[in-house]
Amino acid sequence: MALRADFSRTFPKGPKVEATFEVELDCFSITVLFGASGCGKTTILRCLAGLDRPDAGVISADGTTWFNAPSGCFVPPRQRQVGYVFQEASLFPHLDVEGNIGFGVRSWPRQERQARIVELIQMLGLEGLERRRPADLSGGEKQRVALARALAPRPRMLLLDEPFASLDRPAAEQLRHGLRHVLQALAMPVILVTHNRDEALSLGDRLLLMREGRIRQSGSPSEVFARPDSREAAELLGFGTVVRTRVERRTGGLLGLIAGGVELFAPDPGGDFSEAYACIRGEGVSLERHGPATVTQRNRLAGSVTALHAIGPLVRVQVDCGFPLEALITTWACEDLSLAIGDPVHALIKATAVVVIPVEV
Amino acid sequence: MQRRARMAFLLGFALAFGWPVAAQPKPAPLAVAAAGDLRGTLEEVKRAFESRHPGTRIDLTFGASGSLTAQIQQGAPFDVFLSADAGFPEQLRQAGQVSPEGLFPYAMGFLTLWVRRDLGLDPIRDGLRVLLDPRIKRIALANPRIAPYGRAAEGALQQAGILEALKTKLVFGDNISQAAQFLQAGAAEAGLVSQSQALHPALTSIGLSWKLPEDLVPALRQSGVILARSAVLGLARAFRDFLTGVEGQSILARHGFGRP
Amino acid sequence: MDWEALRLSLRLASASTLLLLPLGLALAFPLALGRFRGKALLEAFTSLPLILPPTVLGFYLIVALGPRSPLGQVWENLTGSPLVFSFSGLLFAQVFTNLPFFLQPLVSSLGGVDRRLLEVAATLNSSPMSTYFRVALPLAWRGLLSGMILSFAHAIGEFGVVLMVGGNLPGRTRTASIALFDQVQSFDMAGANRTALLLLGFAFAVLACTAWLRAKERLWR
Repeated sequence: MALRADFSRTFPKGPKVEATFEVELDCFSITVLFGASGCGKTTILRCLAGLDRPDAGVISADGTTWFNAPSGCFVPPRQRQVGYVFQEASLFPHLDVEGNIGFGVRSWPRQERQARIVELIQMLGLEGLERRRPADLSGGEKQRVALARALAPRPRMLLLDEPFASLDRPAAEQLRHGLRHVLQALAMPVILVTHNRDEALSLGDRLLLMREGRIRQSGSPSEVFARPDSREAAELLGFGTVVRTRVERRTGGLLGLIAGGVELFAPDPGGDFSEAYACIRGEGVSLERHGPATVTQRNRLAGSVTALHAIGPLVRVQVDCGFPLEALITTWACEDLSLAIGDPVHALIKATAVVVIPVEV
Repeated sequence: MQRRARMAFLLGFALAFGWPVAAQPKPAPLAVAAAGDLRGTLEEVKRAFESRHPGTRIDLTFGASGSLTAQIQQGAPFDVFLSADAGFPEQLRQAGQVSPEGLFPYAMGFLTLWVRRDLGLDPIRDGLRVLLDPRIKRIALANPRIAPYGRAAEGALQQAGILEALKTKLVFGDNISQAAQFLQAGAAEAGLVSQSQALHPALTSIGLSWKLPEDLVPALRQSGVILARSAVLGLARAFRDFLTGVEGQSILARHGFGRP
Repeated sequence: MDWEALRLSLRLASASTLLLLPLGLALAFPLALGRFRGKALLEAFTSLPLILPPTVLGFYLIVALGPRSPLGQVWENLTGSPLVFSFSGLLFAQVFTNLPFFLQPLVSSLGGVDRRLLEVAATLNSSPMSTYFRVALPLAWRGLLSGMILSFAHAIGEFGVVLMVGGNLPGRTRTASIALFDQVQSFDMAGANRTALLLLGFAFAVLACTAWLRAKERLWR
C-alpha cells in the first residue's frame, strides 16, 4: 500500500517542478524534501495534498487515483485524508484552540469528538490552552496546535511545510526534539519540507534532495550528506569549502588535484574527467601551528588565517592556503593555538574527508 | 454558532416587522388620483366627506394628469381619477378602464398668470406681455406633454404670439404643483399656473396674479372617472356625488374653480 | 410628521434587507471565492443598479413587473392585485436596486480573508460551501454587517425607482422620501423640513456606524 507520485507542474514564467517517488502508507517513516528556498518543495507538497493541480502525471494512493492528467481526474483535498501543516500554522483566528483542533472532526458524534480533542491536547502538551485564542499563543504553541488540528481526523499521511521556519532558534530546537517522538507513535508516513540542514539530518529517515524543481538525489540522510552528487548539492549540504581543481595525477586510487598552486589528495571516484570540485567539510579540517611533517593526513597545507567567526562553542576559521579553506574547530582549540588573523597555520585534511565531484564537460 | 443565532433573530425580527400584511389599512380606503391643481382643495373635500360618512377613508395621490393616466394603464390601484382636463379620462374610457357611467365633469379650471410682487410689474394691466420684460428670467409651466395646464399655457402663449420669444425662458415642472413650487421657492420669477394655486397664501403673499380671459385660453373642463376595476364602486359613486353636489362645489368655488 | 410614511420606509427597508440576505450570501460566494468564466459578467450585472439612472431602472422594473409581464400576470392571478404599485412590487424593486450596496462590502471583506485559511479548511474535510459558512463568512462578518447597513440606508432614501414602480399611494407605497417630495409640492415647508431633518439624521447615523466598523476592522488585523 503505497503512495505513488509521478507528476510535474509548469509555471507561467517557465520553471517546472517535477517529482517521482513512492512512499509506503501504512507504516511510520519520515521523508524529508530538502532544498533551497524556491526550488519547488512546497509545490510538490501542495500537489500531494490537492491544493495545487499538476499539469501532467499521476498521483495515486493505495490504488485510488488522486490525480490523473490524461483522464482529467482530480480528487479534492477533503477527500484525500491528508493532514497538512502550513509554515505559519494558519490557525483559525475566530476559534479557540479547542475549536481549531476540533474543526476537522466536527461531524463526529459529540462524545467521540471531545475525546479525540483531549487525546491530541495531551499528545502535544497543550494542556491549559484549550480556551486560548491563536493571537495569545507563542509560535511553538501555534505550531503544536496546527499539528494537533491536522492529526485530529486521523489522516493517512502527514505533510509538514517548513514547520520550524517561523520559530526562533530555541523554540525550533525544542519543538524538533519532541516532534520525532510524537510522530513515531503514529502509524503513518510523514513528508517534511525544509531548507534547514540540521532538521533534515536529525528528523529524516529518507532524504530527497531537490534543486531547481527536480529531485536530484535520494537516500538516507547520512548517505546523501556524505556523498553529494553535485557542487550545488554540496553547497546546499553545508560543505564549507567547495573549490574547483584540475586533475594532476591519479595514483593508487587517489587523485592529485591542483588548486591555487597547491596539491590536494582525495579518493578517486572513478570516471574520466580532467577537472573536479573538491568539497571539504569544516569539521574535517584540523589546524596546527607547527608539527611533524609526517602525519596520517595526506594533506598538510600551509596558509594563514584570514577570518575567525565564533558560532556558539565552535569557531569557523577561514584559512588562505592557496585557495580559501574553511575549518571548524572548538573554541578551546582556538584558544590553545591562540589564533589571530594573519597567523601562519598548517591545515590538516584527511584525504577521505575530501569529496570529489567531477565537472561535467 | 453565535452567527446562526444572530441570523435567526434578525430573520424573526424581519418577519414580524417587514411583512406587508400590516400595510393594509383597516377600512378599505377610496384611492383617488387627482391632478396637481387640486392640491389644497381636495384635502378640504376629503375632510368634509369623511365627516359626513364616518368610517370611510380617502387616500389622495396628486400628480400630472398624464402621469396618473399612464400609471392607471399600468395597473395602479386607484378607484377615482380626477383629471385637469377631459382628454386623459377619455383616453381611459376608450381603453375600457372606466365604469359604465363614463366621464363626469366636476369643475372648470382657469389658467392664471403669476408674477413676483417685488419686480414692480403689473400683470393685470399688461397681461401676458409682462413676460417679455427682461426682469423675468424664468417662467414656470407644467410639462405640456403630461399636464393639461401646461398644454393650455403653451397654447395661450402661442395665441398671444410670444411663445417663440419666450422659448429660452421657459422652465417645465413635472406637473402643475411642481411649477407652482418653483414660483414659491423663487426658482422662477413668473409662471402660468391654475387659479386654485395662484390663490394659495404661499403665492399670494409674494406675487400678483391675473386670470387669463376666455378668448386667450378656454377654461379647462376638468373631468373625472370612476375606474372599472375599483373594488369600492359604491363609495366611489358617493364621493363623485359629493364632489359634484352642493357642498363639494362650494369648496371648489372657494378655491377658484368654476362650475362644470 | 407623516408617521405612516416613516413606518412604511422602515418596513420596506428592513424587509428588503432581509430578503437580500440569502440572495446576497448566495451571490457573494462565487463572486468572492469562485474562479469561473463569466465571473466578470456576473460582477457587472450585479453592479448595474449602481450606475444606471433610477429612471432607467424604474422603467425596466415596470416592464419586468407590470401587468403585461409574465411575472406580473402570475402575481395578479395568485393575489388578485397587480404587482406594481404595491408594497410587494416595491420590495422586488428594492431588492434589485440595493443588491450592489449589499454585495460590495461583503465581497470586499471576503476577498480580504487569508486564502490559506480556506486551504486549511479544505484539508480538514470541509466542502467549499462548508468552508464559506464556517470560515470565510465568520471572518468577514464586518463586511456583511456593513452591507446590510448600507443597503438598509439606501432603501430608506430611495426615491426615483420607488416613485416609478410604486406610485405615490399613501399607506402602501408613499415612503418617507416620497412624502417629503409631496410635502414640498403642497407648500408644506414645515412638514418637509421635519421629514428632511429626520432622513438626514438617519443617513448620518448610518455613515457613522459604517465608519466605526471599518476602523475596528483595521485594528483587528
